Amino acid sequence: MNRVALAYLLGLGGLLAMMVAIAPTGGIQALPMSRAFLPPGAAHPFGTDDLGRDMLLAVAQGARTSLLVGLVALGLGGGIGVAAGLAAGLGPVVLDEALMRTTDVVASLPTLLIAVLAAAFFGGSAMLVALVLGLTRWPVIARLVRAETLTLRRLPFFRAAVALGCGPLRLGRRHVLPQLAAVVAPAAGVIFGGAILAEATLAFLGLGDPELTSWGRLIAAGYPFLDDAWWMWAFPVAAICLTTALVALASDAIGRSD
Amino acid sequence: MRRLLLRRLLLALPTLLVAATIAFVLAHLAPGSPAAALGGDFGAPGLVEEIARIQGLDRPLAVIYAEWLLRLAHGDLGFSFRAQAPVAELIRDRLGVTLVLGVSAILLAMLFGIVLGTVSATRSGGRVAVAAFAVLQAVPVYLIAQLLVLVFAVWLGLLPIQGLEDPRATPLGLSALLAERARHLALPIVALGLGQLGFVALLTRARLREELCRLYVTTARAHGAREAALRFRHALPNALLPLLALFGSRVGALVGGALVIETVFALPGLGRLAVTAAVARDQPTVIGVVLVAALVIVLANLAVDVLQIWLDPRQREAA
Repeated sequence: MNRVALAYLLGLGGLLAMMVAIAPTGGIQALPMSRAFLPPGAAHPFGTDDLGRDMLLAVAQGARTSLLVGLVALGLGGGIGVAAGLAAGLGPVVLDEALMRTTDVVASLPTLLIAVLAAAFFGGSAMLVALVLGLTRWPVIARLVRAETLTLRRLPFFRAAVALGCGPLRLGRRHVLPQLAAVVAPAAGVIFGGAILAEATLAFLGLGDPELTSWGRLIAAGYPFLDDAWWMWAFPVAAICLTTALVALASDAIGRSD
Repeated sequence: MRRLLLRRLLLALPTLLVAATIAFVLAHLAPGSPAAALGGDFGAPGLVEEIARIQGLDRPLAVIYAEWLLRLAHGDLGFSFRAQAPVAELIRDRLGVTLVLGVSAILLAMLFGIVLGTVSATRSGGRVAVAAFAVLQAVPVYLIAQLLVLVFAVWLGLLPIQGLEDPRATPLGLSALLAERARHLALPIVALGLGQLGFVALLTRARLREELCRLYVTTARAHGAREAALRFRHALPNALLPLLALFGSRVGALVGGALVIETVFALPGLGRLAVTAAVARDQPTVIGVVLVAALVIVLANLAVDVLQIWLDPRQREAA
């Protein structure tokens, strides 16, 4: 990982750690109604919402859910994608064909529609969104990993490893996996940001998790006051933009040079 | 070419089957049933069981699945519990709106995205543009939609806020009706297109920057080609081909975006149908919409593949 990417990731990590640190663990205390709809000021840097709650604390609290959704979707999608791509690239031709046709099928599924239906059927839950997205968005990564594996297979070092008697497991783990970061990073960033946005979309449709504060729920809650209280939606939107932008920049930097 | 088409169409069948089966399993495993929804909160005792028996919902799931599959093979999408109408009819009535919305939005996004991406693909400049594209990509599409409504409908009063036509209007002639529809669809299309614009522009820019490093670009520059001609005439056509495939993979996201946009603008499209049907546990309708959405995605990808082969002389000859 190069220095630029590390700097972006550290910036993102620091920002998020700060948010988690200042976020209260329980609900956010509502202030007297006279303090509702306060614009950003010294006492409340991000203003207050329609119930007089501090928006800075709300955004900080929302970070936890939104990040968890992004990370779970990324972990699932990345894990399945890398495993399937490696198996297709290193395994026998039959396995390759079977895995790639499965990939084609999954890649053609209307993911967000399925996530919306799952949430409508089983009740909104942040984990459900992450699960559905992770289980349906891995084909992008699988295809990239397979292509890269096939490229690596032709290189001398790989043939030497095969000649030395490396089995497919060792080949995958020691010789292919470490070289995948640059290929996978940009797609991984897209999955991460996409999951956060999908959660926001579900929250807007009224299918979010009623128990949890997330950036998406805050945007959906601020949406009726679009014209009157811009700070209610602008700060959660800024949080999503900043996070996805930093992740995109970091994954771009990882992808550029290794 | 014909063989490729045939092969792809054959591979589309399992895709559609998997999509429909996922929807089927989700719909039938979900708590609550259409019988309970139809029976209402204050139904007489035994009413729900009676409805379930009449609609055949009390049978084992495997039997329902087999029967559904058999009907599907005959092209029968089933009967909506909620609307009391054939699902195919419900979908046919709403498909047009969603298709017009989606196709116009993707064309708009591609046109402007490719141009903006090409213009911003300079070495030093374009950093602001990249940031703008990235932000556009990260803002939820419903917020973009509502901001557009705020500016163009509420403040400027130029365009209607929602719906497909003004319910108070007197019946219109065909041309007036089309104009009215276009006025109502303008904001939804722009909102959906803007949501995709950032993605298209970023990808185009990245591909074009690679392409501009190639030797033939240097040669053309040495021959005195103007910078604009260099980009649009020399580099862009070469950069565009691989981009096409990526745009094809975006159709799924577009389906999801259309669902949200239809909700914001209260348009009678497929997305709205899916959400209301899901809440009412109207299983046949939900499955039908998922099937149609998967079909649209498959066909769009097929079209992209064919277009790609047709545009690329090397592939055209190989096929």
